[in-house]
Amino acid sequence: MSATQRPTACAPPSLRTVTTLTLLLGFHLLPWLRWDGRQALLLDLSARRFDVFGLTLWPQDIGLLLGLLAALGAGLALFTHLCGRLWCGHGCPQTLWSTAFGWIEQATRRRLRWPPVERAVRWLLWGALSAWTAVTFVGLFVPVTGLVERTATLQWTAWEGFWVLFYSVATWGNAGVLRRQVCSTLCPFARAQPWLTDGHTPRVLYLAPRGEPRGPRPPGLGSVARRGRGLLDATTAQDYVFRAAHPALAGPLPRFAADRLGDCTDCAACVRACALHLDVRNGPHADCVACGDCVAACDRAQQAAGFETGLLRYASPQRAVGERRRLLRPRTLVLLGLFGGLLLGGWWML
Amino acid sequence: MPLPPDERLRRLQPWGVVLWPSFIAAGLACMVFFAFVDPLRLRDISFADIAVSRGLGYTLGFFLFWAVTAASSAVTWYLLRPLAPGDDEEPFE
Repeated sequence: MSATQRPTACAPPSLRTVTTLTLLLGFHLLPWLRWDGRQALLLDLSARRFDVFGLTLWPQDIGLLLGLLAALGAGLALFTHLCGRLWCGHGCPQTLWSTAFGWIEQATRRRLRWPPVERAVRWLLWGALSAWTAVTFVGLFVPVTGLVERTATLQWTAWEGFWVLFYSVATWGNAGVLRRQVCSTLCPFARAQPWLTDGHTPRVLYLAPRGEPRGPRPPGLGSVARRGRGLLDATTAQDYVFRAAHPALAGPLPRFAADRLGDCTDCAACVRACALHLDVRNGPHADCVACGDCVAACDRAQQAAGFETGLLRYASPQRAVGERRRLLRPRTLVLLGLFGGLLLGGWWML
Repeated sequence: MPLPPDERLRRLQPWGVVLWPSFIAAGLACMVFFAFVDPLRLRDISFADIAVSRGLGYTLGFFLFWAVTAASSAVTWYLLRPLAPGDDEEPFE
């Protein structure tokens, strides 16, 4: 248990840490990219001219721009249908900035013991990150070099100053205050998940036949594979999951001999790692954004207990019960048709 | 740190539910509207005496759209609220 709770300061950064840092850095570099001597992505409102990586759009190209946005939306829907909510957990700005704000909070809480000082430093860092984000974002709408020069001397035009302030406050509010509540209560894309995904779409999955019945046990017992208990049948495993999830309905769990227990030690590392404290063992949850923090925490706990990793994994439920992989399902064809149609339309308009 | 769904967030939610979708709708409306209408031309046929730059024109236009879409969202939110208990049982006199 202590091994799972120790901060993993020495561990190599997780994949999510790397993608988060890369995408945050990519966003802040975006307005600085050049293309043929011009800013690569500049939606110059004052000049009424959009530059998008070599493509120049004028006001009369609004149809193309809307089509491009729709194609991006359809592409995201198709990607989510095939790969699950990887965008939500790894690519969405809401997740990226919430994670960054969380890192700042963890760092100040660890280093500064006196709450007023901790709060002051945290607010200062959050404010700096919000302001930098806002300047970068506004730098996609006015030429960024001039904007930053004017930032140094604080000579923004009135509406530049207003939008920098507006987006600073919005960043702070979304990433510092609301965080995952945005995904749970405000995001329409999160609500659309039941229409986009099916049984073949991967999600965070608990291997109940291996993990159940869960419970603490003395150290030294091997995993179910090593001590020959093997996997339970799906119905029995699901029954244990139901009993653990609904003790008020099902009554307390029976006590099991240590050698009959599954590989889940009920250490709750997965629940603690989750920003929303979801228990993914109890079945799919609409609020789960597939960030994979619980998977990493479970792997660490399983390794510490001397078991194989992969009790929680990112996988398709149909594949997990042994069904053949089916790449093309009805929804795949609809989304593929939508995405392809929009791309073809855009190609034709160009 | 995780935020439990406490009272503060429950009170914040209607604000988010009204302001956020109307923000997106206003952004889209603004994009389409100003693709066809140059704010400077709009100024010339409306308030020609006031110095309005394009930036200010876009900003004002956006907030005008947002005010309208947010008003619509707010009324929708208001109508979706359950009636207070007893409201529909008052006797007619």
